[in-house]
Amino acid sequence: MALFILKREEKVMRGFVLDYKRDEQSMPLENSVYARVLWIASLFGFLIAFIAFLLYLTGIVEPRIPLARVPELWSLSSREALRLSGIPGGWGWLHLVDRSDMLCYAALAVTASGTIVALISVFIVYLSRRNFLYALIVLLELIVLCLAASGFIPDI
Amino acid sequence: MKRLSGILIILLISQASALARSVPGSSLSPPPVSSLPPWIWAVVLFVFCFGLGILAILAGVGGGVLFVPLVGTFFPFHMDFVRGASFFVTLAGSLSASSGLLDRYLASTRLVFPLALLASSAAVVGAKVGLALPEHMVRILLGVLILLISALMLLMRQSEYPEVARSDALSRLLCISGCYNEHTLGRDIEWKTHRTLPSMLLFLIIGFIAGMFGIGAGWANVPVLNLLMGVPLKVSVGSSLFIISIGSTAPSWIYLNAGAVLPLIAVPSVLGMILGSRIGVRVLHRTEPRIIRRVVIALLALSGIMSILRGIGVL
Repeated sequence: MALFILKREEKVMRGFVLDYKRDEQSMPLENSVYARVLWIASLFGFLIAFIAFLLYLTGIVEPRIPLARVPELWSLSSREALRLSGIPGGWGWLHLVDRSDMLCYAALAVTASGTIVALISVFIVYLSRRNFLYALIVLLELIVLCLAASGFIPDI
Repeated sequence: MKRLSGILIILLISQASALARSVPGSSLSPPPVSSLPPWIWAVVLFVFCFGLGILAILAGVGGGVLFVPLVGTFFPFHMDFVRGASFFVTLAGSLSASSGLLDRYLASTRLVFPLALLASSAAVVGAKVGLALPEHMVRILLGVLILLISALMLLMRQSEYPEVARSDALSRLLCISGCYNEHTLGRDIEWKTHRTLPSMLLFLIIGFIAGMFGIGAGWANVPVLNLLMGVPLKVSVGSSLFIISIGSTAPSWIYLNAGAVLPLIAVPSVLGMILGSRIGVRVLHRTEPRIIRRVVIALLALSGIMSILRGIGVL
């Protein structure tokens, strides 16, 4: 997807430069690639979240924690709530994704992944343009986000 | 329209207070189990966040800075779940705005990526610290922070087109500069930055605070970009949203992995805030933003005081 958007944006940008006599500095390609990928990824995440929540609220798909039990959990700390509900921490919810509440988790995870997907596309753009400084900055950013997403960072 | 905004604010407060009272027990410290069916909470949260989304746009503030103190004060949820939902509310708001801002050159990836790297790294640490703190401590610190933000919003004067005589060495190394078309002037505005290193250090602190309380960071990002680095106001606002979209991603994963996100709280909040923001943008030109901004500042100050009172056990 990223490569497709990259090719398309390069064409658009060539047209833009010819039309408006702008230089590359004022309209970097990474801006438009990042914008397009981010928009598609976040729209996808919101759409799944909406559908998953409808399934959850209407009870069409059974949740892991019955809806009536949720008020017992929401005034507890996340640690106590996890213990009481028996849901595994970290990526443990992935094994329970056939339940509607865990599907909502998955949808939120997809939304949070939008930035990562967009950053990967921009990383490719920077590498293809031999802008190694920004490729390194984006790579470091990707490492931070992937570390946070991995669940490997220990609690304080 | 002023009357409409006033009614909206009163409705939001009365709705939240009525809900807090509907739960048996004290007026603002409801016991763990609610007497209302859970789906009602989802609907109320959606409507509440829809109103917050409109208010946030009209007052020119981020969704997170309103969401955490107001939902944390008026709803019976633990602060872990309020902050967990807030990260997704903030993320959704900034994600839906970022692409449009980039398209119009009102945000620059070259300005954003180095700052976002620092902010998101610090936000991860902030999120971990925030989850480790006891709830009453979070409420007290949040209350103090919200009062400071209210004062900052009241006193801060921003500069539309700051003068930057010469960009510094770090800024030149990172090629941080840009150009955008200012419709109101009918010409292109070129910009560059200075004081890049101290600004980067400030972004570490801002990221930490944003990660700890889940309140977004626009209230601090914009003044640093605009007043310290010399970025034009519109680009500062756009780039700030863009930084938040990256900066909120990291702590949202931390909260998701810690089980501090309840779909029943997070999803209706996100959907309500997105829809509210869209409506807010449409009615923006028909309102008097200065008055609404002052009302929101007063509302923030009130929720800050109530957060402190709940933290010390008075409410």
